Amino acid sequence: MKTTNTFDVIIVGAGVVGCSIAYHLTKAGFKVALVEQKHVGSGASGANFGMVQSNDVEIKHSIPMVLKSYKRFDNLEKELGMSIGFRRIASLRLLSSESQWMNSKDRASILPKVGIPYEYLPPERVAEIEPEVNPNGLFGATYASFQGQVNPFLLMWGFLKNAHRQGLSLLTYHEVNNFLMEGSRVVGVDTTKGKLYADKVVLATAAWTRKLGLLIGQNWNIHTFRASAMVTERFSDLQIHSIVTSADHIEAAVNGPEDAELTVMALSQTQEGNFLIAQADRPGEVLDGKISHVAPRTMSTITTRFFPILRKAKIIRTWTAPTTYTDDGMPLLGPVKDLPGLILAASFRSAVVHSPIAGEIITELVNQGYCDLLDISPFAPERTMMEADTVYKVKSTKTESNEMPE
Amino acid sequence: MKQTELIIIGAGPAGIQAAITASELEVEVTLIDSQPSVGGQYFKQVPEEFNIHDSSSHQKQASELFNKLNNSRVKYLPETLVWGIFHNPKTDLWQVTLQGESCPSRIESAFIIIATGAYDRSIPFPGWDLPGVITAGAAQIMIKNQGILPGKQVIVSGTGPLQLAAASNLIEAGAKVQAVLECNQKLFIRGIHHLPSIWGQWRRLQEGFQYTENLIKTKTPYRIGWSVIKADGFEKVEEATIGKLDSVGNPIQKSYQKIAVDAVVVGYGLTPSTEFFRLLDVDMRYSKSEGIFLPKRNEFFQTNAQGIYAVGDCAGIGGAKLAMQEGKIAAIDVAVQSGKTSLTNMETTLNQIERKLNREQKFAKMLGEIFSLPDGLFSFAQPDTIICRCEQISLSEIKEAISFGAQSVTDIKNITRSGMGNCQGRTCGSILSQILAKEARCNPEDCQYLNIRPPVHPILVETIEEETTEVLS
Repeated sequence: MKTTNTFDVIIVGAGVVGCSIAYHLTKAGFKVALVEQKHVGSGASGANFGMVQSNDVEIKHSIPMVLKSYKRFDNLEKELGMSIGFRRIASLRLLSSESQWMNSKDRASILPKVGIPYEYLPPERVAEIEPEVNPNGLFGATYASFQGQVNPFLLMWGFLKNAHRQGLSLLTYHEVNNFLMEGSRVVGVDTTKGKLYADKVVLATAAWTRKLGLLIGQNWNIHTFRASAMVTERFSDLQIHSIVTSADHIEAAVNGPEDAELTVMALSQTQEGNFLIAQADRPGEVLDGKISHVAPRTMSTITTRFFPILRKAKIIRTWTAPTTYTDDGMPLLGPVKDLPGLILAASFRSAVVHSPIAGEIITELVNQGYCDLLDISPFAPERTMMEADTVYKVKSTKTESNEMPE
Repeated sequence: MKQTELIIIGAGPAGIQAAITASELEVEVTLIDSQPSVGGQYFKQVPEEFNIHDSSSHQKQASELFNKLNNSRVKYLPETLVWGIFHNPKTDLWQVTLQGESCPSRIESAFIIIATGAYDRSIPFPGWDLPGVITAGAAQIMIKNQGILPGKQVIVSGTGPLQLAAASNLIEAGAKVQAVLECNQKLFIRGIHHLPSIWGQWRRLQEGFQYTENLIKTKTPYRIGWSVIKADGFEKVEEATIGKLDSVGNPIQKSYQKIAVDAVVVGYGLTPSTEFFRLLDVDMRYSKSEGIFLPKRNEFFQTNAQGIYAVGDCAGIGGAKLAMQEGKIAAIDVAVQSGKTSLTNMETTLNQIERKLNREQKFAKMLGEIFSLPDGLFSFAQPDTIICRCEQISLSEIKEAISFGAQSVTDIKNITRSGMGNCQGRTCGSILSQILAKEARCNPEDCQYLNIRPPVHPILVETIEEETTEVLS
């Protein structure tokens, strides 16, 4: 790699958000380095199902941002000059009780007003849309007809392919060990392969953000949990048309009852015919890539409850990645107070859907120092440091009525 | 949960020897293998009806070992696939998950010796995915186990002693071997540096002579510096194009010859089965002679994962004898670590093994260097040649991914789906790094390696679901 070590902007983290920022900044003519500790998409971005979801948006402040970003997907393939596997697809969340529906009522009253269809479907309608769903004990479903799905890898590489042509320096296997400071100003990063300097450093580091913040006295209150999933062989005995999730779940102890893994069904069929299956979530600060010994079992078990036919499907791979959660459901997005030169773009709920807008916002911030596109003040990183340092715990239904975020 | 003191995966020479040694030292052992009988590829037990000529010293050694195993207290699980190795934080043990007719679904233990051996290395060329183009290992299994002749008019192409063995077996079984093509030019020049290593390996040379004897008897041409370049045919192979190679392995077009065949047997050496090491994310190092990453090990062949050992060909190609010595040492270390014996007790034994080990390591190094692959072989593939056979990804698709700025084999996998299929890149993984290295002008070791995630083999949802688990609402 023949580059100097000085750039206009250094982006840390080659996930879907970092790749989008790299694309937008290089398009605007900046000299950019994208620094990644492993390979592209080695964190949560490479582990997700590529859902372009607007129905799980944080409803207080995030709707304008999500809608803007969501619309970009209609033209994104044309803009990037390649297929990213984008399709419009409905999202169906299976309910087994009325109380599960009651939990979604706020959402159902707000989302349709802003143009995101979201409604209750009785069991007979569910059977029409997805005939293979096990009807036993089904109360109905929440239905969001206008969602989407991309191939998350192609989305990242769609951004990178263009960024590459626009002069991006992609520096993989460069782990950031520290920040380079001049007084209170961030002027670069010290990596395992040497020092890099820039006017601005952008952290698009999701689950690794907190660890990096602690190096410079910032205790951003981002919680990590690991999300696991699996994929089957192409399976022609079943065709499903929606993203199907369950409100029901399985709890399984990993270390003990205090450390339960909570598994819901989340199912979608790729355009090639493979099934992406289930989601097992477990809180914890561990950032490695090893799936727990219980996750493959719980994911298989919950999936066959709703789709018995999938017993005959063969699993070819399981995986896991640390993902993030903030107490208010909002990202840390914007300049870091009292540390000029440092900008955050971390912990989005649904990074895929936010990725285009994150690129636009960061480019405005780098270009002019403020953001015209929309009001990003609710996302100011420092807000999370004022909150109590809560620990995210799996909310057990055995103790209180609750459900997983979609 | 079923527990044992030591789990050994793979019942080839390394695994069997490790099981015997550990059991002699009072360690409770479970030996797991995917095949119906012990022996692995090296001591493959041939069904009697197909039993063709087998070198007797080899056979004697095998039956001695099998007898010892039968008379030991080793618990042996045949026809059992290991699909995952997990750490169970509750017990702080390794949990090995199994698939098979008569095995428990999980066993836990503090120690695992991985002895999974190696499989045929493949080189992509136009037509390599045609029916009738098979590896040397597959040809031997067809002849020895199934009594099937892969073809009547056969070209054997590749490098090293394994393809000679395959050619010899083919001739004995009645095939006409049109030619045996050895892709390495400087076989003898390279070999001379290693003459001292051959000292003490007379029995092996004898084996080599047995193979060549069959070639000489039937006047089978043995061409050094040649290779199959292309295979053609409608639905199955009908014609092979062979060509002479230049000093770095690039084919010389004007030398091309077409030969009518009904089978092409390719034997470009072996690739260690490193799946479990990548699954466990142990520290790896790049080995130039095998062209892949191998697990780093300490003097007792333990990896940096506590209690996980790597012995035999799966940790680097060294042959059966080296594998057995490694198995012995790892087993002794497990016995010491679990308090069954002490290092001082074992000192004399270890010293004896050490001497044999050194000799075998030298011989393995020689074979590795003589028969390492010239880079030019990776230029046989054409733009439309399929590189990833599971997902049907062509060379041109891989080159396009590289043009996006891909920097590692994982990047290529994520862009193209190459290596995302059932085999998780078993065949194409190392080929991708050769292509990327060539295109991006970097070293293959900079291209890293593909991750492995459970299940290591595809597994039915119904075999791991648990119907008794409570679903909460």
